[in-house]
Amino acid sequence: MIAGVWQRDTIGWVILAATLPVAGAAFIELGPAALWRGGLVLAVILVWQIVFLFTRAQPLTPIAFVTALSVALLAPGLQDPWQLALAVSFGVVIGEQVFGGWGRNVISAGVATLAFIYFGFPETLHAGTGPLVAAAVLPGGLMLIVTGIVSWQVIVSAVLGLSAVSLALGEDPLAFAVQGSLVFGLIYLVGDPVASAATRGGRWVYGALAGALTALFGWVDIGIDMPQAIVFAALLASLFAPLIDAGAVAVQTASWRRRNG
Amino acid sequence: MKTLRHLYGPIIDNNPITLQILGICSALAVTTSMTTALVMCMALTGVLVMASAVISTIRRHIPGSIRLIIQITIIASLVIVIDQVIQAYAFDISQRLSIFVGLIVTNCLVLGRAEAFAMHNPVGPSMLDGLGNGLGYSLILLIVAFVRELFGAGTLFGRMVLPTIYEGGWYTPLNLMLLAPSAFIVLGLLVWAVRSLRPAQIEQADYEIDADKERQGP
Repeated sequence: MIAGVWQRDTIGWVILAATLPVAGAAFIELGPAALWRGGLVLAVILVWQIVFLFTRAQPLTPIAFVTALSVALLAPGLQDPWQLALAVSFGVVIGEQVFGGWGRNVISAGVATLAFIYFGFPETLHAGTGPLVAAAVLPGGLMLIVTGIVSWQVIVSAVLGLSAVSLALGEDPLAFAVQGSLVFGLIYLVGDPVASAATRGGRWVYGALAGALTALFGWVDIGIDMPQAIVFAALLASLFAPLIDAGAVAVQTASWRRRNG
Repeated sequence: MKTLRHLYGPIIDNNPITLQILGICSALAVTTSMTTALVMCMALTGVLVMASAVISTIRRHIPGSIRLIIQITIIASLVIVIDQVIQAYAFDISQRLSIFVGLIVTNCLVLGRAEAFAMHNPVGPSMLDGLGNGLGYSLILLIVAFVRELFGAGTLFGRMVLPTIYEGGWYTPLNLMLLAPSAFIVLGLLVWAVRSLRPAQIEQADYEIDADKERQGP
């Protein structure tokens, strides 16, 4: 039995509440098309959650809404319903459910789905979203940081890494702040409490890596206004997160050994 | 009946790819189309059966200290023969398979069966074991190639099955299927399916997540 307020579902509901303004902004910016795509994605995720509820007793989570919003917001070019359904099925099953459901996954289901979409359907063009979405992310993002659900170390080091690499490449270090997709990805994909690093030192390294990769992919390859940069950065950084954590633990224990002989 | 088990055992219950995870390299490389996969399967099965037969025949004459060298020499000679046959009769496919027929020499599966089975068993069972393992390998390769070619290019054996949008049809090819990671994904799903049907194949977990005993229920 689980006691206390801060259990998995509370965190899921708080993250969901934080994304509500973003959902509104996405509806205004992308139009009603975003609504049915998000709804379809949500329905597919719910079907898979129910399948795994009955076959493996993995409880439903409200995080499905956040995954659906990430897909609707960061892959706005994908219109074909079966392509969406296939990508989401892949992301949710392989990225999240096979590991035991949300909370035990290595990469977030949204990132897995988006990577599948970008690799699987390279002809589809996606556009980023603008300052309205970026502004709508802020209140929810602040709430998540204050409640400690999203680690402030990750966000600060990611912003520092992003700005530093942008500066090193001779680009505007603050250009990311008006890109809706980028700010959204920074809080909800890079800052994802499950997929990001969990040790104190590891969080700084993880965030800096994610930010630096975002700037590198954005400026050198795809374009900083495109959603791909932040998704691929989050994918790579979260794959490295366990290694970073193991390194942080090893460094910490080594320093204790030195001090205590 | 007992000797026949060497033939059908490796097809699902003791499959070289899904259970022993051998021969993965070629399974990833040649499965973008059914044609190359089929030729590769025939080449590998041929080498496996012949190598098992030859090695089993001379197994009492092979000195233990240099047995691996001798096995590799026999396998390499057979691979060269098979490669020449493919070049002579199917030059296009030989070009598409590029180095992978030659690399059958280094395929763990062939040496593994020679060392583990043909060195200790008579010719008949050894050939059946080679054939069974070859068929098990072929089954998995053809399933992976079927999925990858059908969804990646909309074709099977080069013939149009799902008309793609490039040819005026309706099907949008899934480019991911033609990239190497998709072979891993398809293979992983296949292993999952096989182990759901045959739970005996599931290994013991290295680490179980334990429930937190300190927490008290409300």
